[in-house]
Amino acid sequence: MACIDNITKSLFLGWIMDIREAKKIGEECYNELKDARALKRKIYDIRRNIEYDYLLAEELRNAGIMSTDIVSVALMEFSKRILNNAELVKDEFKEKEGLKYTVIDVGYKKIIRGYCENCKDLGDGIVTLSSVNGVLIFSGKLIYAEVFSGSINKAIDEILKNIMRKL
Amino acid sequence: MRIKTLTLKLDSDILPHSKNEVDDYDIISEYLLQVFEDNVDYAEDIDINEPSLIFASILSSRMIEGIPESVVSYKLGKWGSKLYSGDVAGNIAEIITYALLHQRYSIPFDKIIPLRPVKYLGIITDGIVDISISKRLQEELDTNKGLLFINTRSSMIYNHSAMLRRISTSLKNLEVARYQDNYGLLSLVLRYSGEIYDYLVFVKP
Repeated sequence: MACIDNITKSLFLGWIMDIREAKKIGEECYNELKDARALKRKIYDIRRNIEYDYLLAEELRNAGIMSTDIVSVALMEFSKRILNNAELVKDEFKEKEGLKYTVIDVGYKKIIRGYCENCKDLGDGIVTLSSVNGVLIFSGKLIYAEVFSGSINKAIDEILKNIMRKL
Repeated sequence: MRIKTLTLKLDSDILPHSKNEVDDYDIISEYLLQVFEDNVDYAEDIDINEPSLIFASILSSRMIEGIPESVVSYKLGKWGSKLYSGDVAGNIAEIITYALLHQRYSIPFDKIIPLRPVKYLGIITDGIVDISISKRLQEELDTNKGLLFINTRSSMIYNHSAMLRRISTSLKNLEVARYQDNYGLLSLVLRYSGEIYDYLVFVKP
Protein backbone atom coordinates (compact mmCIF):
# COMPACT_ATOMS: atom_id res chain seq x y z
CA MET A 1 0.00 0.00 0.00
CA ALA A 2 1.80 3.13 -1.21
CA CYS A 3 -0.60 5.49 0.52
CA ILE A 4 0.35 4.32 3.99
CA ASP A 5 3.98 5.25 3.28
CA ASN A 6 3.20 8.71 1.95
CA ILE A 7 0.28 10.14 3.88
CA THR A 8 2.39 11.48 6.76
CA LYS A 9 4.59 13.28 4.24
CA SER A 10 1.56 15.24 3.09
CA LEU A 11 1.25 16.63 6.64
CA PHE A 12 4.89 17.70 6.58
CA LEU A 13 4.38 19.38 3.20
CA GLY A 14 1.29 21.14 4.53
CA TRP A 15 3.37 22.33 7.48
CA ILE A 16 5.83 24.07 5.16
CA MET A 17 2.96 25.36 2.98
CA ASP A 18 3.63 23.23 -0.07
CA ILE A 19 -0.10 22.74 -0.37
CA ARG A 20 -0.03 21.72 -4.01
CA GLU A 21 2.27 18.76 -3.33
CA ALA A 22 0.37 17.85 -0.13
CA LYS A 23 -2.88 17.74 -2.09
CA LYS A 24 -1.25 15.64 -4.79
CA ILE A 25 -0.44 12.97 -2.21
CA GLY A 26 -4.03 13.19 -0.92
CA GLU A 27 -5.33 12.72 -4.44
CA GLU A 28 -3.07 9.73 -5.16
CA CYS A 29 -4.14 8.15 -1.88
CA TYR A 30 -7.80 8.70 -2.59
CA ASN A 31 -7.53 7.21 -6.06
CA GLU A 32 -5.67 4.22 -4.71
CA LEU A 33 -8.23 3.58 -1.98
CA LYS A 34 -11.56 4.79 -3.30
CA ASP A 35 -12.84 1.23 -3.55
CA ALA A 36 -12.90 1.30 0.25
CA ARG A 37 -16.12 3.34 0.01
CA ALA A 38 -18.11 0.11 -0.28
CA LEU A 39 -16.31 -1.26 2.78
CA LYS A 40 -17.18 1.87 4.74
CA ARG A 41 -20.87 1.35 4.01
CA LYS A 42 -20.61 -2.30 4.98
CA ILE A 43 -18.92 -1.37 8.28
CA TYR A 44 -21.60 1.21 9.03
CA ASP A 45 -24.33 -1.37 8.44
CA ILE A 46 -22.69 -3.79 10.84
CA ARG A 47 -22.19 -1.06 13.43
CA ARG A 48 -25.82 -0.09 13.28
CA ASN A 49 -26.93 -3.62 14.05
CA ILE A 50 -24.74 -4.59 16.97
CA GLU A 51 -26.21 -4.62 20.44
CA TYR A 52 -23.08 -3.61 22.41
CA ASP A 53 -19.88 -1.78 21.41
CA TYR A 54 -17.57 -4.54 22.61
CA LEU A 55 -19.02 -6.97 20.04
CA LEU A 56 -18.09 -4.85 17.03
CA ALA A 57 -14.54 -6.18 16.62
CA GLU A 58 -15.67 -9.78 16.31
CA GLU A 59 -18.71 -8.97 14.18
CA LEU A 60 -16.49 -7.16 11.67
CA ARG A 61 -14.04 -10.06 11.50
CA ASN A 62 -16.90 -12.52 11.04
CA ALA A 63 -18.01 -10.45 8.08
CA GLY A 64 -14.48 -10.70 6.65
CA ILE A 65 -13.43 -7.15 7.51
CA MET A 66 -9.85 -7.26 8.79
CA SER A 67 -7.54 -4.66 10.38
CA THR A 68 -6.03 -3.82 7.00
CA ASP A 69 -9.51 -3.12 5.58
CA ILE A 70 -10.20 -0.75 8.45
CA VAL A 71 -6.87 0.98 7.81
CA SER A 72 -7.83 1.36 4.13
CA VAL A 73 -11.14 3.01 5.03
CA ALA A 74 -9.42 5.36 7.48
CA LEU A 75 -6.70 6.31 5.00
CA MET A 76 -9.29 6.92 2.28
CA GLU A 77 -11.27 9.18 4.60
CA PHE A 78 -8.11 10.98 5.69
CA SER A 79 -6.98 11.58 2.13
CA LYS A 80 -10.43 12.96 1.32
CA ARG A 81 -10.04 15.42 4.17
CA ILE A 82 -6.63 16.49 2.90
CA LEU A 83 -8.18 17.11 -0.51
CA ASN A 84 -11.14 19.05 0.83
CA ASN A 85 -9.55 21.02 3.62
CA ALA A 86 -6.16 22.14 2.30
CA GLU A 87 -6.83 25.63 1.04
CA LEU A 88 -4.80 26.37 -2.01
CA VAL A 89 -3.47 29.75 -0.97
CA LYS A 90 -0.69 31.02 -3.16
CA ASP A 91 2.21 28.63 -2.68
CA GLU A 92 4.05 30.39 0.07
CA PHE A 93 6.99 28.08 0.38
CA LYS A 94 10.41 28.84 -1.04
CA GLU A 95 13.11 26.47 -2.20
CA LYS A 96 16.87 26.65 -2.07
CA GLU A 97 19.31 23.85 -2.83
CA GLY A 98 16.70 21.16 -2.19
CA LEU A 99 15.42 22.69 1.04
CA LYS A 100 11.76 23.69 0.89
CA TYR A 101 10.90 26.20 3.58
CA THR A 102 8.38 28.74 4.73
CA VAL A 103 8.90 31.76 6.97
CA ILE A 104 6.49 32.89 9.67
CA ASP A 105 7.10 36.43 10.85
CA VAL A 106 5.90 36.89 14.43
CA GLY A 107 7.34 40.40 14.74
CA TYR A 108 9.90 39.86 17.49
CA LYS A 109 11.19 36.68 15.86
CA LYS A 110 10.95 34.78 12.62
CA ILE A 111 10.21 31.08 12.43
CA ILE A 112 11.50 28.92 9.59
CA ARG A 113 9.88 25.56 8.91
CA GLY A 114 11.63 23.38 6.38
CA TYR A 115 11.60 20.00 4.70
CA CYS A 116 14.69 18.61 3.00
CA GLU A 117 13.34 16.12 0.51
CA ASN A 118 16.71 14.82 -0.62
CA CYS A 119 18.34 14.62 2.78
CA LYS A 120 18.71 11.03 3.92
CA ASP A 121 18.26 11.42 7.63
CA LEU A 122 19.61 14.35 9.56
CA GLY A 123 19.16 12.56 12.87
CA ASP A 124 18.01 14.61 15.84
CA GLY A 125 19.85 17.71 16.86
CA ILE A 126 19.99 21.32 17.89
CA VAL A 127 22.57 23.96 16.86
CA THR A 128 22.95 27.69 17.34
CA LEU A 129 22.78 29.93 14.31
CA SER A 130 25.46 32.45 15.19
CA SER A 131 25.09 34.76 12.18
CA VAL A 132 21.48 35.63 12.97
CA ASN A 133 21.12 35.02 16.70
CA GLY A 134 18.95 31.99 16.27
CA VAL A 135 18.57 28.30 16.82
CA LEU A 136 18.11 25.39 14.43
CA ILE A 137 16.61 22.05 15.31
CA PHE A 138 16.14 19.07 13.05
CA SER A 139 14.81 15.53 12.97
CA GLY A 140 14.84 13.23 9.95
CA LYS A 141 14.08 15.46 6.98
CA LEU A 142 12.41 18.18 9.03
CA ILE A 143 13.96 21.42 10.19
CA TYR A 144 12.68 24.22 12.41
CA ALA A 145 14.51 27.44 13.23
CA GLU A 146 13.88 30.55 15.25
CA VAL A 147 15.71 33.69 14.21
CA PHE A 148 15.86 36.82 16.36
CA SER A 149 17.92 39.23 14.27
CA GLY A 150 19.57 39.55 10.87
CA SER A 151 18.25 38.54 7.48
CA ILE A 152 16.37 35.38 6.59
CA ASN A 153 18.68 34.77 3.64
CA LYS A 154 21.65 34.70 5.97
CA ALA A 155 19.80 32.28 8.24
CA ILE A 156 18.93 29.98 5.32
CA ASP A 157 22.56 29.95 4.19
CA GLU A 158 23.73 28.98 7.64
CA ILE A 159 21.02 26.31 7.89
CA LEU A 160 22.06 24.85 4.53
CA LYS A 161 25.68 24.83 5.65
CA ASN A 162 24.67 22.91 8.78
CA ILE A 163 22.54 20.44 6.84
CA MET A 164 25.32 19.79 4.30
CA ARG A 165 27.73 19.09 7.12
CA LYS A 166 25.35 16.41 8.39
CA LEU A 167 25.17 14.56 5.07
CA MET B 1 11.90 17.59 30.09
CA ARG B 2 11.68 14.58 32.35
CA ILE B 3 8.56 12.49 32.34
CA LYS B 4 7.83 9.15 33.92
CA THR B 5 6.70 6.01 32.16
CA LEU B 6 5.14 2.79 33.29
CA THR B 7 4.68 -0.10 30.89
CA LEU B 8 2.14 -2.88 31.17
CA LYS B 9 1.42 -5.70 28.77
CA LEU B 10 -2.07 -7.04 28.49
CA ASP B 11 -2.97 -10.31 26.86
CA SER B 12 -5.91 -9.73 24.53
CA ASP B 13 -7.47 -13.01 25.66
CA ILE B 14 -8.74 -11.31 28.77
CA LEU B 15 -10.68 -8.77 26.69
CA PRO B 16 -14.21 -9.88 25.84
CA HIS B 17 -15.24 -9.88 22.17
CA SER B 18 -18.14 -12.25 21.73
CA LYS B 19 -21.75 -12.62 22.87
CA ASN B 20 -21.01 -15.48 25.23
CA GLU B 21 -18.61 -13.26 27.18
CA VAL B 22 -19.63 -10.56 29.64
CA ASP B 23 -18.72 -6.94 28.92
CA ASP B 24 -16.23 -6.52 31.75
CA TYR B 25 -14.19 -3.70 30.22
CA ASP B 26 -14.94 -1.60 33.31
CA ILE B 27 -13.35 -4.21 35.55
CA ILE B 28 -10.31 -4.45 33.31
CA SER B 29 -9.99 -0.65 33.34
CA GLU B 30 -10.19 -0.68 37.12
CA TYR B 31 -7.39 -3.25 37.16
CA LEU B 32 -5.24 -1.12 34.83
CA LEU B 33 -5.66 1.95 37.01
CA GLN B 34 -4.97 -0.05 40.14
CA VAL B 35 -1.69 -1.28 38.64
CA PHE B 36 -0.80 2.33 37.82
CA GLU B 37 -1.59 3.66 41.28
CA ASP B 38 0.25 0.78 43.00
CA ASN B 39 3.37 1.18 40.88
CA VAL B 40 3.86 4.92 40.39
CA ASP B 41 6.94 4.77 42.60
CA TYR B 42 8.59 2.34 40.21
CA ALA B 43 8.02 4.44 37.09
CA GLU B 44 11.00 4.88 34.82
CA ASP B 45 12.33 8.38 34.07
CA ILE B 46 12.74 9.41 30.47
CA ASP B 47 14.03 12.71 29.15
CA ILE B 48 11.91 14.01 26.33
CA ASN B 49 13.81 16.31 24.01
CA GLU B 50 11.84 19.53 23.99
CA PRO B 51 12.67 20.19 20.29
CA SER B 52 11.27 16.82 19.26
CA LEU B 53 7.89 17.97 20.61
CA ILE B 54 7.75 20.52 17.77
CA PHE B 55 8.03 17.81 15.14
CA ALA B 56 5.67 15.51 17.01
CA SER B 57 3.13 18.33 17.00
CA ILE B 58 2.94 18.23 13.18
CA LEU B 59 1.31 14.84 13.63
CA SER B 60 -1.26 15.98 16.15
CA SER B 61 -4.84 16.42 15.06
CA ARG B 62 -5.28 20.10 15.85
CA MET B 63 -3.40 23.16 14.70
CA ILE B 64 -1.43 24.22 17.73
CA GLU B 65 1.79 26.23 18.09
CA GLY B 66 4.31 26.82 20.85
CA ILE B 67 4.10 23.21 21.93
CA PRO B 68 7.25 22.89 24.09
CA GLU B 69 6.08 25.87 26.20
CA SER B 70 2.61 24.36 26.56
CA VAL B 71 3.92 20.94 27.50
CA VAL B 72 6.32 22.31 30.12
CA SER B 73 3.54 24.48 31.56
CA TYR B 74 1.29 21.44 31.57
CA LYS B 75 3.84 19.58 33.65
CA LEU B 76 4.35 22.41 36.10
CA GLY B 77 0.63 23.03 36.38
CA LYS B 78 1.34 26.72 35.74
CA TRP B 79 -1.55 29.15 35.58
CA GLY B 80 -2.79 28.39 39.04
CA SER B 81 -6.50 27.91 38.81
CA LYS B 82 -6.66 27.56 35.03
CA LEU B 83 -6.72 24.31 33.13
CA TYR B 84 -6.05 23.50 29.52
CA SER B 85 -9.11 23.00 27.41
CA GLY B 86 -9.79 19.36 26.63
CA ASP B 87 -8.72 19.92 23.05
CA VAL B 88 -5.29 21.18 24.05
CA ALA B 89 -4.79 18.54 26.74
CA GLY B 90 -5.74 15.85 24.21
CA ASN B 91 -3.25 17.27 21.75
CA ILE B 92 -0.50 17.36 24.35
CA ALA B 93 -1.15 13.68 25.06
CA GLU B 94 -0.84 12.84 21.37
CA ILE B 95 2.37 14.85 21.07
CA ILE B 96 4.00 13.37 24.18
CA THR B 97 3.10 9.87 22.97
CA TYR B 98 4.62 10.42 19.52
CA ALA B 99 7.74 12.07 21.00
CA LEU B 100 8.12 9.14 23.39
CA LEU B 101 7.71 6.57 20.59
CA HIS B 102 10.34 8.48 18.62
CA GLN B 103 12.82 8.62 21.46
CA ARG B 104 12.29 5.31 23.21
CA TYR B 105 11.70 3.11 20.18
CA SER B 106 13.62 5.12 17.53
CA ILE B 107 10.56 5.48 15.34
CA PRO B 108 11.09 8.23 12.76
CA PHE B 109 8.27 10.79 12.73
CA ASP B 110 7.50 10.05 9.08
CA LYS B 111 6.72 6.44 9.99
CA ILE B 112 3.92 7.38 12.37
CA ILE B 113 0.54 7.54 10.66
CA PRO B 114 -1.75 9.84 12.59
CA LEU B 115 -5.43 9.15 12.02
CA ARG B 116 -7.14 11.03 14.84
CA PRO B 117 -8.73 13.45 12.34
CA VAL B 118 -10.85 10.53 11.09
CA LYS B 119 -11.49 8.90 14.46
CA TYR B 120 -15.13 9.94 14.09
CA LEU B 121 -15.51 6.88 11.86
CA GLY B 122 -15.64 4.94 15.13
CA ILE B 123 -13.42 2.14 13.85
CA ILE B 124 -9.90 3.55 13.87
CA THR B 125 -7.39 4.60 16.52
CA ASP B 126 -5.38 7.83 16.87
CA GLY B 127 -2.34 6.46 15.10
CA ILE B 128 -0.63 3.46 13.53
CA VAL B 129 2.97 2.28 13.39
CA ASP B 130 4.33 -0.65 11.41
CA ILE B 131 6.19 -2.78 13.95
CA SER B 132 8.75 -3.97 11.40
CA ILE B 133 10.38 -0.52 11.24
CA SER B 134 11.61 -0.45 14.84
CA LYS B 135 13.92 -3.03 16.34
CA ARG B 136 13.28 -1.77 19.85
CA LEU B 137 9.54 -2.01 19.36
CA GLN B 138 9.98 -5.56 18.08
CA GLU B 139 11.90 -6.41 21.24
CA GLU B 140 9.25 -4.79 23.40
CA LEU B 141 6.44 -6.74 21.73
CA ASP B 142 8.39 -9.88 21.03
CA THR B 143 7.39 -9.98 17.37
CA ASN B 144 8.83 -8.71 14.12
CA LYS B 145 5.69 -7.95 12.19
CA GLY B 146 2.21 -6.54 12.47
CA LEU B 147 0.66 -3.16 13.05
CA LEU B 148 0.61 -1.26 16.31
CA PHE B 149 -2.65 0.63 16.76
CA ILE B 150 -2.24 3.56 19.13
CA ASN B 151 -4.83 5.37 21.21
CA THR B 152 -3.99 8.26 23.51
CA ARG B 153 -5.88 9.65 26.47
CA SER B 154 -5.03 12.49 28.78
CA SER B 155 -6.01 13.81 32.15
CA MET B 156 -4.64 16.99 33.67
CA ILE B 157 -6.46 16.42 36.93
CA TYR B 158 -6.30 12.81 37.95
CA ASN B 159 -9.81 11.60 38.50
CA HIS B 160 -10.07 7.87 39.03
CA SER B 161 -13.69 7.37 37.94
CA ALA B 162 -13.44 9.67 34.91
CA MET B 163 -10.32 7.80 33.79
CA LEU B 164 -12.11 4.45 34.13
CA ARG B 165 -14.71 5.46 31.56
CA ARG B 166 -12.07 6.81 29.17
CA ILE B 167 -9.93 3.68 29.39
CA SER B 168 -12.91 1.45 28.82
CA THR B 169 -14.04 3.31 25.69
CA SER B 170 -10.48 3.54 24.37
CA LEU B 171 -9.84 -0.18 24.82
CA LYS B 172 -13.03 -1.13 22.98
CA ASN B 173 -12.12 1.23 20.16
CA LEU B 174 -8.59 -0.21 20.05
CA GLU B 175 -9.98 -3.73 19.75
CA VAL B 176 -12.15 -2.84 16.74
CA ALA B 177 -9.01 -2.00 14.76
CA ARG B 178 -6.53 -4.42 16.37
CA TYR B 179 -8.43 -7.69 16.85
CA GLN B 180 -7.13 -10.46 16.36
CA ASP B 181 -3.58 -10.57 15.10
CA ASN B 182 -2.25 -7.05 15.54
CA TYR B 183 -0.98 -5.08 18.50
CA GLY B 184 -2.37 -2.19 20.45
CA LEU B 185 -1.05 0.61 22.61
CA LEU B 186 -3.13 2.66 24.97
CA SER B 187 -1.01 5.64 25.99
CA LEU B 188 -2.41 7.38 29.05
CA VAL B 189 -0.81 10.74 29.67
CA LEU B 190 -1.61 11.64 33.24
CA ARG B 191 -0.63 14.52 35.46
CA TYR B 192 -0.32 12.82 38.81
CA SER B 193 1.18 14.40 41.95
CA GLY B 194 3.09 17.06 40.05
CA GLU B 195 4.62 14.76 37.46
CA ILE B 196 3.66 13.75 33.94
CA TYR B 197 3.27 10.04 33.51
CA ASP B 198 2.92 8.25 30.22
CA TYR B 199 1.35 4.95 31.17
CA LEU B 200 1.85 2.60 28.23
CA VAL B 201 -0.55 -0.32 28.08
CA PHE B 202 0.37 -2.70 25.27
CA VAL B 203 -2.26 -5.16 24.08
CA LYS B 204 -0.79 -8.34 22.63
CA PRO B 205 -2.66 -10.98 20.63
